[in-house]
Amino acid sequence: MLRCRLSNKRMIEYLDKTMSASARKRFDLHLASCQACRNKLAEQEAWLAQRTALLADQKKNGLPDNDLPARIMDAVGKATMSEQAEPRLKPSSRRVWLAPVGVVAALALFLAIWQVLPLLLKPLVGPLQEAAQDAFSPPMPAYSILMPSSIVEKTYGVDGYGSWYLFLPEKGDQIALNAQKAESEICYLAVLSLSEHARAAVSQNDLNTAVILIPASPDSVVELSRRAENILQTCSTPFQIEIIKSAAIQGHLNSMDPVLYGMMFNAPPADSDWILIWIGK
Amino acid sequence: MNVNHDVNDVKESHLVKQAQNGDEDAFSLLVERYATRLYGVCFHLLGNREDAEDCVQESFIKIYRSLTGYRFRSSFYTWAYRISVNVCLDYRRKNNRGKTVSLDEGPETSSGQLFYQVADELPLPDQLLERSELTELVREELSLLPAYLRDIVILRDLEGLSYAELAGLLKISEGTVKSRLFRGRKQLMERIRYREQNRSGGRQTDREITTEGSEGEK
Repeated sequence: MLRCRLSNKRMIEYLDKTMSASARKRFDLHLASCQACRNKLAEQEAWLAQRTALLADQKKNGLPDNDLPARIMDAVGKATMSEQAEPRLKPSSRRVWLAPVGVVAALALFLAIWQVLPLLLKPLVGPLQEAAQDAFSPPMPAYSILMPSSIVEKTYGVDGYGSWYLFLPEKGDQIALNAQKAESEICYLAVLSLSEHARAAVSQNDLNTAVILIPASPDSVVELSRRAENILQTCSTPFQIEIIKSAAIQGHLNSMDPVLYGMMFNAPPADSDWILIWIGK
Repeated sequence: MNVNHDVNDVKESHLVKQAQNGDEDAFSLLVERYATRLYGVCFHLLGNREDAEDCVQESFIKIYRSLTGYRFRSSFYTWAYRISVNVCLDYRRKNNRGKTVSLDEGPETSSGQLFYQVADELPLPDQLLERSELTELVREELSLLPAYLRDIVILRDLEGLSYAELAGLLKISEGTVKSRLFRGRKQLMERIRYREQNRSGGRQTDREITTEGSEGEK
């Protein structure tokens, strides 16, 4: 069957009845002869029926009382009162798997380490940078590095979650299977970016964890994580590296921390695996 | 629904700044402005009044604690909405009726590889999927959608924001909003159909989720 060229956007416009009459007529004509498009449309309409049920349920069972804002303010008051009376909340128990790292990285130690991290990386990074420049001219970046200023504003910053760095590639980006130079550079830049900005952010924010997230092709993900590990092992900052299958990345990020979830608004590349590096407690 | 425009915007940013400086009255006004909408989001994700109330309260506690970290780069509503959704997702995981396997307890091997799999709970095979069950299933699958699709489905189809508002909030084009809306609905219905078809297959623990992530926006 020929692949249908009607866009998803046009489908939505058809469902919304926001097409011009002539366009709608053409669409109708097409639908009459295209089973695939009829199926797509039926699926959307099935959702719309389900949505109606959800909205009806909300209307019937889910409208809040008028004094909801007052109860919320009460709850906020109580929570902040008890916080003042009690020690600081512990970090989420959902990060139990980070315990071995967390134990090592007591906050004081952590902050001290951040102070020296750039110094520790400097001797490593300098030659690497020169080598990278010598070996090949830098390709057009296949990634973007979100700077701390744009990340921290999206994070909670307090209440046990801390703030984060995230090395987040653009949608559709992936490190090519055989482009080992690019892979090395990505690792190098990720670590470099972290070291460049860590100190400033630590002093300005309640930073307690750094995250680097790198996409890699399934065939090279193990090798790439080994390289990242090599880079990180030259400094004494506690870190943990994980490899996550692409299919699980979204759920994994959702499960780990709301902060990360908020940043995964761009679609992760569907066919890459991920290297997730946690640095700090 | 006006979420990020003109006069309201000015007033809102002023309110937020006041609240950031510790003005509780200003925070209270923000609560009044957004309580019902965030409650609606929580209800859609959780499906009952008590849970929605717990979560909207927890959301505002988090918002209060995190307020100084908000830097006005996104609209306050987007920021608050995301906190709320995450509180609900957390709540679902913690109170998942004892069915869902925690994603944080994946196996660890000497090579350091951890494969987390999305847990999937299914009703008993001989039960007919009643309407209320179906609604719960829809809520659950909605909460499991990739964030970039889920947010648009919730904000557009359930919260009624316009395409222009969504484009402004999410800093993407209206065409992209529509395209993602289509894909979000499609993926949601595919997940629901999958669940319905596999009801007789027992508990499923290794489900592949298609994200369509590499597909270009159309």
